[in-house]
Amino acid sequence: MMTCREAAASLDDFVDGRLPLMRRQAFANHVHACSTCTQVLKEVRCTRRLLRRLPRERMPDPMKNRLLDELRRSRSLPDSPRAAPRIRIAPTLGTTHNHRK
Amino acid sequence: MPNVSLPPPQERRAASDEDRLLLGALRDGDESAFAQVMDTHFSSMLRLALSHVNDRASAEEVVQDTWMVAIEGIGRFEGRSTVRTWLFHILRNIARGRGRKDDRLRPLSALQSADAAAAGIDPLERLVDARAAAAGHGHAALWAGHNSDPEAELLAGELREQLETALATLAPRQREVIVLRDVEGWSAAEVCNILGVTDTNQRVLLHRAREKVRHEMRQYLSGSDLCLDEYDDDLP
Repeated sequence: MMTCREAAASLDDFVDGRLPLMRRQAFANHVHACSTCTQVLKEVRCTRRLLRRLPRERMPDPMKNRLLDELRRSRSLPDSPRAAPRIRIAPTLGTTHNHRK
Repeated sequence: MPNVSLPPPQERRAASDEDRLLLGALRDGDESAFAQVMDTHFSSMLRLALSHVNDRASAEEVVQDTWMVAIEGIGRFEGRSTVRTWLFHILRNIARGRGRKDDRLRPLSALQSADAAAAGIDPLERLVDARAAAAGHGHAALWAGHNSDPEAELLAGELREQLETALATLAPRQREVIVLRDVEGWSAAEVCNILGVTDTNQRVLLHRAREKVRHEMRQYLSGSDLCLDEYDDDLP
């Protein structure tokens, strides 16, 4: 039977689904028989699920607009890598190709 | 513009076909592609930045600087990692530099007032309080005023604030790992790649972070109407 110390060491891998099958079964057996480890497992899972439910937000419009303005500006610069044709040596033929249409 | 470096070759991961399509759109200057990626990663980038800087305003500057670097450098990005990995490497470099600069400008000792010193308050606690105060109106303010995910409304404001407080008490690396793994749901491999740590190191950081957050939440939940059992329907 797995000890509480061993169960604690396996807890994160169990929660993350990274515990090998045999060890996973031993962990589950221990948890079923140990109220303390059952409670710890509940708390860990609960906390993890709550963290996953923290709200997400979109980028604020003023920031997005500034960045899109920067994108347009960078594309309009004559010496910008974005504005210059991308030319490279074709690896098989040894010729140059302009990849811009 | 901040000086940043690309991930070393051994840390790069091959991009998927989907990522190549995205990269192509970004290289072509597709504004809708940029806008979509900006929205998709904004929360993650902000949270990761907050692992290193003191307040939301600084974190937003880090995110914006990251995109400035990305816009300038997308034409040179070779696609040897995913776009996300590339972006977060840039962000982390900028955030760490900004965090070091902030720390130099505001030494920790300066946070400990005479009253706090007399009361025996830990300077680290003062730093956490200062970060919360600098954020404006507490941690809930981090998520106020923007378009939020409707599912996130499941989280009560008070509980959310407690979670944010618990995250803010973590050491930067612990916070980075738990944010990317448990808040954002990234794989262990990608987190190791971004942070430049071994899998063993990542597991230790995650375990310590989870334990601290669990203990913070345990104290809170035991004194509230919220019940842990509400969330444990998938236990073995």
